[in-house]
Amino acid sequence: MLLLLASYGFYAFWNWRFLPVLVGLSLLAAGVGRGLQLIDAAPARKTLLAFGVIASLSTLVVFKYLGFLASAALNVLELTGLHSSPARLPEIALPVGISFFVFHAISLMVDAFRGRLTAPVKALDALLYVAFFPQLIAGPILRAESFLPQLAKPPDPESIDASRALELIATGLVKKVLIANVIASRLVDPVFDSIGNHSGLEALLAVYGYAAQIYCDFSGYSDIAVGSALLLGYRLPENFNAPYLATNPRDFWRRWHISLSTWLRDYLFIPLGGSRRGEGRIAANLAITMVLGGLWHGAAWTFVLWGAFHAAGLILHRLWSDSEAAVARHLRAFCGREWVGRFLTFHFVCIGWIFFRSSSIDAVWELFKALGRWKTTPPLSAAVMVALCLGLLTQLLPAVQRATVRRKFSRLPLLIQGFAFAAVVFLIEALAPEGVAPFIYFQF
Amino acid sequence: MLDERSPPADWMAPPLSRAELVEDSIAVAIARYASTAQSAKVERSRLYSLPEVTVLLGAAAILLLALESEALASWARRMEVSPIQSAAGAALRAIQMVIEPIGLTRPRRVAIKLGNRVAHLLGAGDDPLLADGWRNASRSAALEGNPLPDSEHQSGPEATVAGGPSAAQVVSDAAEAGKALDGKQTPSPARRTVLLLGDSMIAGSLGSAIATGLSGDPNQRLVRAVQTATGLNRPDVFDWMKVIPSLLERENPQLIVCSLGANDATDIRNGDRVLEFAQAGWRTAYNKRVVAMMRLLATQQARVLWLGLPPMRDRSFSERARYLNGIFARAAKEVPKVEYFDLEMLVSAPNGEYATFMRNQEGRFARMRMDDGVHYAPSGARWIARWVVDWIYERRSRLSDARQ
Repeated sequence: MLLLLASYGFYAFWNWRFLPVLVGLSLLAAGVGRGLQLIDAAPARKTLLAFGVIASLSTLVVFKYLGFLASAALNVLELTGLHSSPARLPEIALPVGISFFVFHAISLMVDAFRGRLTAPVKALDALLYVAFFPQLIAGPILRAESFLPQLAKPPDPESIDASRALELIATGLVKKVLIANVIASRLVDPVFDSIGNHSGLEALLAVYGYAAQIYCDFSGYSDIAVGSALLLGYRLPENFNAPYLATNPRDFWRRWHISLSTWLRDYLFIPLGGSRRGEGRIAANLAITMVLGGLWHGAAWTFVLWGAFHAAGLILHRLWSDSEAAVARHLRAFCGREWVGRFLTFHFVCIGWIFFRSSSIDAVWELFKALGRWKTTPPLSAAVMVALCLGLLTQLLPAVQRATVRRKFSRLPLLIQGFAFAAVVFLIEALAPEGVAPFIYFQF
Repeated sequence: MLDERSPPADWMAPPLSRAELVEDSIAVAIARYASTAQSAKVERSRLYSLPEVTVLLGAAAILLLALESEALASWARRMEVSPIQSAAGAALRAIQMVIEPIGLTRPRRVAIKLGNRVAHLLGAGDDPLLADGWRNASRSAALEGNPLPDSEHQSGPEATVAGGPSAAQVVSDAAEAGKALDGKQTPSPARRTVLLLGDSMIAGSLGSAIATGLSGDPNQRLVRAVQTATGLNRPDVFDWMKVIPSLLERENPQLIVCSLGANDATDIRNGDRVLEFAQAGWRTAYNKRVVAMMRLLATQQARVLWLGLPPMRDRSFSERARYLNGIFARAAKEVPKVEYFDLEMLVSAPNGEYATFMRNQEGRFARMRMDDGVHYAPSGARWIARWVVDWIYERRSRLSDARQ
């Protein structure tokens, strides 16, 4: 109850006007979820689930995509010569975090439908699950299946994994406040904001820089969210697993924003038929999943392209892995070498980031043009290069050594532990560039 | 998470079936790097009880409060003027008074200085992108223990200080590649310099759109001096009046495009008195600042375009923006060389109200504003930038058409 109030307080701090949307969606999910648990008749269950999912999705569409879809539709109408379009479109503001809490609501209803929830759904639990504040604004996306049982019994006050929580919060802050900020303000933003004036080398470094920035920014936020939840006694899923070490596009999606990619897999790709129905159908399912996944990030064509680009990568990788042609076999043996695969996958992902970061499709072409302009350029400041390298290296922090440090840390006297944590946070603040930029993923 | 040797954690989705696993090195890579796979092997660190966590976090909070008292005080100073700000400021200043004699405020100053030195050693010190006037303004005031600078200080052009806090984020978009990251400009007299100056309204998409609009012309050199969340109301936080003289001297612009005011729809603190927005005292004070700013921008005979504020999604903000626009428009008539550019009708629904989507020049619907209901979306920025670029090239007809 206290956590629920804290969560709503946190949300109201962003924008209290949208609290009814959050509460309404949660109650809808709770009602439908409970209904699905009580009803036995299969057709009634299907209707109820369809109603719940359609209602949640239409909330998302109305708030997030209506303007985008309407303007696209009207522009298409205009092209075909039929124009009766209105002078203006309806004005709807976007509630912060709506993409996340709609996905939570759907997860609850579908998990109830699939019989994955053992305990009866309670309204209060559902409210807290949808709005749990450490992740409310920018994820990770929780599963009803794994989070509701945690709410059912209060967390054990005798076993809080505080050393891991503090470690996550501290590393998250370093990644976000120090590394991502420096790369963004000194390298990525200046180049992406005026691409026309930059050389190929700068554009290339800015793309690498964005890869490092978005990883540090988003995984930093996830770390902080997971760490704070851990302090409260709840376990949230890990969201990243050294994504730039992926050896192929498919591997990348098992390491990048894992809570989203598994959500899309379990609630979209698999209901579409997954990979059980022949190659053509698999490709189509992948394309639908990834394009919608792209659109989930924002109502803009650049995100659609980003999703389509990743879909193309996944489909090609699939064809290529299954191909029996001799050329493919030899090439596969070559690319199968870990570092070759990593190199190719990283660059594939980086090209994707160009779509993701650019403000418009024109800007994407501007950047590709810039990549082709090879001129001598003055070297970048070492500070930016250091931040870039550190940003890419943070994903490699070895787990064994981290655990050793944690163990040693947890044996120190409590006061010393507290002071040490304070000292780390203090150093991060003192060394940070002024004015922390907002988390990238808040906008989605 | 696909490594079958270690069971998946309970939050995880069910693992993919064998059929879904294609032969590749995932399992190998995961076994080597994945924290989940490894944590199974390493000894877990001990768990804490609730009282222990309370002690730990309590100790951390107390030490942090002491070490960061200065940062918190400066944060309270920067908050919007309100009773809460006054209270928080007073409380934090009291804490600071206690902490100061113990010497616990020193580490932060040392750390900041050290950080700056390291940044300098790494070659970032001379980067104009690093010259952060805001940081200097707020931190140096704290360092010298100065009281709040009087917000009604003399701010005529002659009163400005040379060598004051350096410019805000100055990005130079010189036509030659690399200038923006290098920062050492050599202005050639044959070329014109256009200075973009202001807050977040011109920092993001609009600045980029203007840069793109000029990027084909090697004779236009664009310099951007933008600092988000600034305005004319809070010289104690960021003082544009002190930034501009050295900026004008260094860059010597012939044309200036300025967008300020979006952060100014707030009360003004004048010593101990709080002037309420749009009241008589506020109007006089703010008008004086706007006129002084315009005069300062026009001192070197540069042509100045002062961008008005567009309608905002929030109705009361929109009304306040319109009120500010009235002040800008009148002030611009007073100061020679300064033109006011009315965006109220250019970026709005046909009835002059806020609109996220609007028909552009081709008659298509395009997104003009960001989801925050304040800033310009890229296509909206391109739309405005067309008029600004026309003004830069003195193609006056379209601009005056737009204003009718």
